[in-house]
Amino acid sequence: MPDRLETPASAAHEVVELLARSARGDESAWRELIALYGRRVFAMARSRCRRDDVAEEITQSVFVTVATKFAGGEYTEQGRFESWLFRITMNRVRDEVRRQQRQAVPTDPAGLGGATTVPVESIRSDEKEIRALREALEALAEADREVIELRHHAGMSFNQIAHILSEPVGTVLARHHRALRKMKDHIESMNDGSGRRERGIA
Amino acid sequence: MTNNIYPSNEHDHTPPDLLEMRDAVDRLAGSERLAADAGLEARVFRSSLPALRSAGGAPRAIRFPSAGWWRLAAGVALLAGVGLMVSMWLTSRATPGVWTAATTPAPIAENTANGDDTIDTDRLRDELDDFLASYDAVERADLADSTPMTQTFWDSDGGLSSEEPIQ
Repeated sequence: MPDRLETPASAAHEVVELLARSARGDESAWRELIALYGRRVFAMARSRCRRDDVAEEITQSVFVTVATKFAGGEYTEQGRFESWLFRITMNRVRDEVRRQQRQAVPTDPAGLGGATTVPVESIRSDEKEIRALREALEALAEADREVIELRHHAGMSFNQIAHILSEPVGTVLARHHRALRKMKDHIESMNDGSGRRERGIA
Repeated sequence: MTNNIYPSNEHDHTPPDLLEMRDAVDRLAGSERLAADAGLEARVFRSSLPALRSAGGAPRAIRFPSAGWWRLAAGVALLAGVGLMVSMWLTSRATPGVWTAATTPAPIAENTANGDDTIDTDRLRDELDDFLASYDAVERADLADSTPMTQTFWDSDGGLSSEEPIQ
């Protein structure tokens, strides 16, 4: 499995170089850029859509948009590429969520999390943890969930998140803590053993 | 591999009781990133490549605006060339007497008298007659001096007899 999930700080110079070369149509640089950010975009999309094919479709759409912006000379490097990239991603994800909501059919809330086809007895402990975390994440309010996903799935700094959401850094930090606490409470309530399904999904 | 990919030197002021949850969410995010198969990057690359290839053309066109200046310069040069040719043509056409409001056409007789660029047909005809006469005289003299080749070759001293077969 490719592992190019470098921290933005360590890759900053490389990213600037990759952006400049990609904007000139350098295919190897573009490939590197996709290796650097593709899975982060995919993770954000998958976290919300819960379908690999839809998440990949969104990922491709995001990178086509970026390439098209390069083509039109509409991108100017100002050290905000990640903010721009994940703003595009966030907008695509929001569009997809709205589309899914329009087409939504009544479903069993227990099915959320994409694990309905997996037999319970085959789920390992780490998988159980992941499922519980997904449930807790999905129980968050939209604004709190976006902060969590931008921070942990996209790997952005709080300054970048504040820029994307047009909010003060302090507000973003506070919302992040609040979201973590809600998730913690949610999982603890699930672990109580009583009323797990009743109280799990908002 | 670490699950957190955000800047590790950034202090997020996470309360101690939430550190475990923060790390758990990092694990969740890591699992989402790794959920895609290994071909994700290649597929994204292929799907976005056409847009990138168009990116190789348009910015270059923008980054070299002198192309417009080259076209402008070529246009100016073309117009200048055409203008020069037209002016030369008008000048050559106008030399005998450009018909402008400021010019009164001179009588033909006067032009002939001034006569550098008018044709005196009588004089030309006389010169042509003289030339032809002298040409005939020269040609006749040449013919009189010449000996037919056959005679020279076969009958000169050391030459072959016309009766002698070639060895």
